[in-house]
Amino acid sequence: MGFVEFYNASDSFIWDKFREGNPNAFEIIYERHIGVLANYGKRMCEDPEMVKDAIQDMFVDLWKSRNNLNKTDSIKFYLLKAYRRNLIKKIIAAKKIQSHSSEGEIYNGGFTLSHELSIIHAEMEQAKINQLNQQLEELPPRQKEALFLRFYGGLNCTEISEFMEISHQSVLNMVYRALETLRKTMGFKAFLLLSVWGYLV
Amino acid sequence: MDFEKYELGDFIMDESFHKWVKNPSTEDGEFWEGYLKNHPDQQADVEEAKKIIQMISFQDKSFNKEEVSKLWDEIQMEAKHGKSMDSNKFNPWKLLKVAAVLVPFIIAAVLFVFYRQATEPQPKLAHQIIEKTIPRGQKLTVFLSDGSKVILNSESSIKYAKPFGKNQRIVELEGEAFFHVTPDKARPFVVKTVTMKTKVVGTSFNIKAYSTDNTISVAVRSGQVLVEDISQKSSEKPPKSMMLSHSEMATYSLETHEISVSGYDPKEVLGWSDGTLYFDGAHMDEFISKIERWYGVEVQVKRKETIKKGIVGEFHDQSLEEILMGIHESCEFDYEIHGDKVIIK
Repeated sequence: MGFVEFYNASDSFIWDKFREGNPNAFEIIYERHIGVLANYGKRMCEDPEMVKDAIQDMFVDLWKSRNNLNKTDSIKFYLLKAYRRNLIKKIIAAKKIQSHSSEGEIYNGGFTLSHELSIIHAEMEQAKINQLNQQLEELPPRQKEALFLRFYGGLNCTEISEFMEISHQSVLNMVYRALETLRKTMGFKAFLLLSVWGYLV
Repeated sequence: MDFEKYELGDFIMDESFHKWVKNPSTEDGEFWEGYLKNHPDQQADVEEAKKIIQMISFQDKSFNKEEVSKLWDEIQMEAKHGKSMDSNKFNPWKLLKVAAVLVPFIIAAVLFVFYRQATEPQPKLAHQIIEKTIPRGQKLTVFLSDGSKVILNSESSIKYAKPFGKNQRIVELEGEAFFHVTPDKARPFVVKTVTMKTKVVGTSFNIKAYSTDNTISVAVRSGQVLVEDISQKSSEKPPKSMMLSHSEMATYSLETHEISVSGYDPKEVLGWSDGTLYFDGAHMDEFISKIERWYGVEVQVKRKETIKKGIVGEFHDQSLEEILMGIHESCEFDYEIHGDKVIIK
């Protein structure tokens, strides 16, 4: 089966072919997801080599274990999840070497969104854009990650909750909270998120 | 879903709403535009939700092309290397034993698969794969779903999906074809041959990639095209690629994997697509392989001395007999035609 057959094929079809060991399916999976993986990785981790190494390890593991993989309808979700695990393992390992810290140290998350918003609305002043960027960067890492997964990665709430191992409601809260912070700067009319805020207080 | 109870945050988090804002020309778009007309009271929330979604568009921090392909090479190498490690412990006796045990199972499995394929309908895909193959002595013009035109030369085949994919228009080619591509900036048109990838937005060009030749050539008639070497590359080097403009031709050598760029004679390279067979000092070998394909004949050379003189001539919709008659004197050879066999003496 050549490249063309996969063109409009669904994720589950490509995934099944990949599990059967089809190398073209493997390449299509790589080509289609390298973008989102790179974008996610570069925000999780500052070291570009580590970002790449984790991608490489993840794909090699995936290929080697192709016979034992489960079915999936969203390859992107599957890869991001596997990639996150791999990357965090590497980040923790690197931290241990750096600080000679003990086994018990837990990765407490890190996610960078700096100077992301460059071209927003033409009518917006640069000063405001800078302010927004700063606020975005100052959000707690988990909020930034959820925001990114939703708005860049296109994952839905259920996927994000499974991905970050938090409840559905916590995802909503995190995203709403992040948006509320940004909204204040944007000067929009008041959010009507009282029902959500109720859970937070 | 109860959209009437939707508030700003709900709109922002709704997947279909999101899709509409990012790409208004989808099915989701029709729904939301209709919905808005009927619910003017929610207009303000919708507008604000749209603004916020548009505001939060993150920068693209993808790897560049070289990084992407280098990483892929490394992945492939490591994936393969892992396999070869296992075969280091090769033991023929053990293998024989294993084989003796496995053979009945393999036969059973193969039978089972065949049985299943015969009884179960194949899963249907959302698209159709079209393959066109043209034998020797014929040509074919194909119009693709995007309006692009492909003229397929003899002994060639193309394969493509109908309709094309969302992001790219991919065509696989073996042999020779002339492409006249309908411009579509959002969906580059990509022609894949064994070792080369040709990417364009909208232009016309010729690709010659017969498996019997040891070169692949891409000649551009109008616009610009990007050619890229996609054969097994070494992991250190990025893939060779080259931008070609009109009246340039790239020739890729399958032996050295080098791409060279030159000008070309349009009559010689593109003439076939409007039925002109053109020779400008062609060698005998070149002449023979061209007419074999063109007329679907088999040529045998039965003479000791080689024909050194270059063949010159332009033939438009003429029979093989007329061509041979036209050149045999100046090139000093005799010929016989027996059905689809030609003998040159």
